[in-house]
Amino acid sequence: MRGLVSLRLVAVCVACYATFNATNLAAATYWSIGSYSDQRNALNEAARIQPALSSAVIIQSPSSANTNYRLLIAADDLSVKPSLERLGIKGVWSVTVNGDLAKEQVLRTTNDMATGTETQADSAVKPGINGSTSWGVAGSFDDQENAVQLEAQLADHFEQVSVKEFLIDGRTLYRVLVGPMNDPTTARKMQLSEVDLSALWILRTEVQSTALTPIHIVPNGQNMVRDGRNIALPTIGNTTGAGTRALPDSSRALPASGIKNDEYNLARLAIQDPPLITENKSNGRWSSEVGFESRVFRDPGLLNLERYHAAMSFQAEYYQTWNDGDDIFAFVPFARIDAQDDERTHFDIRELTWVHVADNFELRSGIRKVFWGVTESQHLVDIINQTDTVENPDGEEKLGQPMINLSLLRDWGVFDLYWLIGFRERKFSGPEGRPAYPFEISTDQSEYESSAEARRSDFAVRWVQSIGELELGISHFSGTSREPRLVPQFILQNNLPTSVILIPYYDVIEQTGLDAQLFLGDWAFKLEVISRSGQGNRYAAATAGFEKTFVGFAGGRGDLGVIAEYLFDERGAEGPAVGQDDIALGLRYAFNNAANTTALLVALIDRASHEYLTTFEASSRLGERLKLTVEASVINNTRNIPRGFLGLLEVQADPNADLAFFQDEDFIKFELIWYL
Amino acid sequence: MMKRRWARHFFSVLGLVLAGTAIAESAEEKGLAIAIEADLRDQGWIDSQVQMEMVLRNAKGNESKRRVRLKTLEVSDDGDKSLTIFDTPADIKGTGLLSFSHKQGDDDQWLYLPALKRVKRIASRNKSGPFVGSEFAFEDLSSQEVEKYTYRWLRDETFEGQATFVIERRPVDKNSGYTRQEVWLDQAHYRLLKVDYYDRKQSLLKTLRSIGYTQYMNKYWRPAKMVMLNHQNGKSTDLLWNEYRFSTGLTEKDFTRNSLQRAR
Repeated sequence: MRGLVSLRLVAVCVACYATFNATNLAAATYWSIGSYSDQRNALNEAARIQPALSSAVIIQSPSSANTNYRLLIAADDLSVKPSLERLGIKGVWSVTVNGDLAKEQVLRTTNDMATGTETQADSAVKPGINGSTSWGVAGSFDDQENAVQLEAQLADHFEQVSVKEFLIDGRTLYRVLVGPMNDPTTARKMQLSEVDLSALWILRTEVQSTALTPIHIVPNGQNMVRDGRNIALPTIGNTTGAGTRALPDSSRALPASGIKNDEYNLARLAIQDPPLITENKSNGRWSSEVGFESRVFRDPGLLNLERYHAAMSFQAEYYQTWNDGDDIFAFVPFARIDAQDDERTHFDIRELTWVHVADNFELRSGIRKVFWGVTESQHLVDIINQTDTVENPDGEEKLGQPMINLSLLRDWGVFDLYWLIGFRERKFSGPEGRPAYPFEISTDQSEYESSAEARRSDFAVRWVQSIGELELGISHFSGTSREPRLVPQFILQNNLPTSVILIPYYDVIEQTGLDAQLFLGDWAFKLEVISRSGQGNRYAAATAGFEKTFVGFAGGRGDLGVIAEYLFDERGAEGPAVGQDDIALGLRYAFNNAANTTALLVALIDRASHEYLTTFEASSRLGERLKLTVEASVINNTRNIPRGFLGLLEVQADPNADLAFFQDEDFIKFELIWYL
Repeated sequence: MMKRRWARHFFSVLGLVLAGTAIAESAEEKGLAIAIEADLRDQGWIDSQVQMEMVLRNAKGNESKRRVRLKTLEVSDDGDKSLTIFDTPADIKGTGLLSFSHKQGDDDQWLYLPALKRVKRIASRNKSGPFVGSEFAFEDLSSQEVEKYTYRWLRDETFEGQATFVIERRPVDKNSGYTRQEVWLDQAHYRLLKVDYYDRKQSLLKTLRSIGYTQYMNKYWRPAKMVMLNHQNGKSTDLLWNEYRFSTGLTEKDFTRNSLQRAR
């Protein structure tokens, strides 16, 4: 039963209020004057109003289409309106009934139900009052093309199908309308046809059919009817100025007669305004966000810099699909304006991509972001995109990479081929920027191993597969290293070094990576291993560890995750500042609340230098459109490094003091993101 | 003599006990039969697409909303596959959850975080945890397979004017957040009208009501609204289901890591 009007009417006859024969119900329209979950309340209310009315009050028992006890009166009696108003009943709406369920099922199998019903209904259903007109809305789309598609499909079944543009809450929707029709039986025909239009609803306007031009409808449905199960007719003389009828007031309060509704008053729970339709074919969506950021550094640092830093960011996204979602276009521009650091003030196209989806492959072209890997403390395997270091020193932000990526879907996994077109240099904060490098990094003098420099094309392949509880990925990258070696160059005056600058040097490397994650109950074991050649001798590096989740920690709603990872680099002291022989310990807590509050605390312990890097991240939604994030980073260094150039030289001379020159760069950052 | 009388008495008591057991067994069989019938009546829809709005309400009545799109693929010999995409709130827009439920053992779940472009397998033992801060737990929303519970018929009862079966079901999985559930199904269509959830301490935790059932494809009943009320914290969550479509032509390929990443 795609019950549009097919109410299963097993009406309860309450002898003292009305005599009622089910067969008389065939093809008639009734006004619903109240809806109650509790039969006693319905009876009490019927008892209250019946003496004041000339028409019989019918109590309709709950059915599949309507879970409440409903009070109905025959709709042909307009004289009851003043009486109802005197009783304080204003929100009246109409229901059309077509016989009992058994009859309907028989009719449906005979296949000519549509015509039969029409004749039946025509005799009983009143034509539109006040010259109003109804349309059946078969679908609403953001994209006109999709609406036209549906229109074409429906044109085979109905004579009058059209697409009209509506402006609803500042948003343009294309509605496929069937009609106009003076009575709801056309809609019933539609509903019973082979086309599945179970979501059909009736739009009613006061305007003439020819004048149905874009209609401005106030949001939140106060004057829209979205109920696929009932054809709504105009309320008694209570049409609104906007030309559409008011929502049925199914939540009318009970008279204060001490009647206790049960806990779930279905009258109150009755389906309110369902959300506006957003077809998943919906097209051409813009969204954007603005971020306001404030960073406070604990002290001026080795270079005696500003402690308070302010910045703003803007990111937009345009997303469009076509070919039934098989083609996707996305554009994500990003801009950062930093009050202190000119190098941090930057613009980037995070994404400008076209994706084509076929049965067993996907072709993704353009500027994209790709993430590989499983561990928390560092991402060794992840290599496709350049890190946006100025955006965030934690390395999680990436620059868009131009590429063509062919993704093959096979039974044995997903196999990705990447052609990475051109290279993006790493950016470093400028002389006023923080966290500060105590050396000038001269990106203007960057050097490359490849003669093609930043125009070199790189290649990568990756295979991923889920095997039961195991997630496995194997990848290989061949091209210019994303992380430069920083080569010191002394500035000499009279053969004496007066200062040092660092020149980024980009080697051509080969890197093979493995990432694996195994779930055993609440335990997730994680491993990332790489082997890289091209930067000195071939070397290996790895991150291995686990995360154990305590669901509903301490009897609460939240989940606690305990993270432990070991970071290893074969190069030892010659390796990077972080990760040659380090332990990462972390706690993650998800509050599982409506604001989606989460917090992550990670301590990274360098076993050789006994330096500690502690980071904290937390975020929470504020209302529907704001999100607050807090980030903090603290470095504990056991050494006492002198300020100024001597300190810098000492830092550079001692490989075990890798983090030392960041010792005064502790900061806390607040960011408020506003989703427009 | 005395001894023999005692023995006779013993056997008559034993007989009573056995009879009692027989009755209990039939209640379990009846409960299982009802569950199987409900399951059979909901087979053959192949796939479905629906939009859903979640309204989270705290004890003070403050609301917060989420809008999601949900695609489901019926898997006949195992649990269903589903893909959930969040449209609002804005900060989680494009976040996807891919879930392969299983008749036995833990479900497989992957989360896609669009800001990081990261597909993350998530610990699927997390059955009892709240789904995006709502009063629905993951296990309340995952595909309800017959094998996930043991059953017992309790009584027949008229519930809100409809003849219903009331059955008890106990989760097989020891990681479930419930000891048992009481389920009201209408006898006419085997539709789930109400569920009472009892927590591990055996006290009433939540009540689910499904209302506004509509039949699709002349066979499958779906509610327009589901209301979960948590009795212990006073919070509630409504699910408003909108625009159900069935047999839309989805295949296994719409439920992969790749499809999870591109659905926005």
